[in-house]
Amino acid sequence: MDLVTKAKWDKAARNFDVMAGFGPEKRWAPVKTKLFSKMGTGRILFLAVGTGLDVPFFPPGRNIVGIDISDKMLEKARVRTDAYDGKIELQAVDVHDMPFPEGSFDQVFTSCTFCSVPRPVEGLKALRRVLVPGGELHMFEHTGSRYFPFNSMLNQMTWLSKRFGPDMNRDTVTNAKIAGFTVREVTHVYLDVVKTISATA
Amino acid sequence: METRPYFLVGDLVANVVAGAAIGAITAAIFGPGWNMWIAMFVAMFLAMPISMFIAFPFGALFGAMEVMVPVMTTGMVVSMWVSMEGAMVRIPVAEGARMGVYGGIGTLIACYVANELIRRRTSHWIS
Repeated sequence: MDLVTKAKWDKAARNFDVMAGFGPEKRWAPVKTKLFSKMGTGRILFLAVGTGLDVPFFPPGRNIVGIDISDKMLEKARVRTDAYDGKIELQAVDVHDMPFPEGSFDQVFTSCTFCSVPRPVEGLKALRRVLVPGGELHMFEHTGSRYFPFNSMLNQMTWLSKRFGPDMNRDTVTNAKIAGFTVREVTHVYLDVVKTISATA
Repeated sequence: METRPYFLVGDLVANVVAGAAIGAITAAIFGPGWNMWIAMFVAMFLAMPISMFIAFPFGALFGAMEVMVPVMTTGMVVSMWVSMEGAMVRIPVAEGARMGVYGGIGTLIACYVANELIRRRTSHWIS
């Protein structure tokens, strides 16, 4: 397990809901509800479940394994996962070192995750490994931008933001392609910075 | 385009406050003794992290990137404008704040327009 990343997110867990629990969730609620409505009835992996802020947007009755590198985050998530009308099993796991056999899941979902995974292409390759062939990856992510001045600004701010949280300039669509996914659909939510990505393994 | 009043007002307040703060700070630091181009680069260098921290409390209330990106752009634009003008003629702090408010509103409108244009061009594609 990447202990540096774990320590960063264990520390962030203390105030995570204060920063992310109200405004961002309220603003993104319609988009997340639509994205997570794609959750099927098979085995689902939710990567970086954090404090469980996304759980209220899940459709009921699903069979989900939620993982996160930070057990402090997962401690907070339990209140929300216990209230979920379905099955959510939480595990403290690093995406780079997942114990699941190949083809364990039919779908993988992420939410603001690949801004923070230290080695994003390797992380996406790990997700592809645990998906069944043709399995679906659905992501809600913020990324860098192709457009000036947003690209330049996000590049410059990443050196600061990565010290306490996420990178702001990742190219997650390209990373998914490099990892071997076939990207099916990209929908921009805000500029070309906040987006949903759907791909197949 | 964002149409929910809560977020429209929040975006406006965040950019006005950030613009006023960055304008006032920039006016207080930079005066006619500065080379205009050096003033601009130093001001932008200082303004971007400051505006990022200003964005945090507003982000908690109104959204993450939708607040942070316009507020940081406001910081960049206002610091550039006030520092370059301040290097030519002394700008009082209150006047810097007033310029910052205008800069914040203008930048927010520009970000809304950019959002519409970018999303219209590339909002949805299927490979």
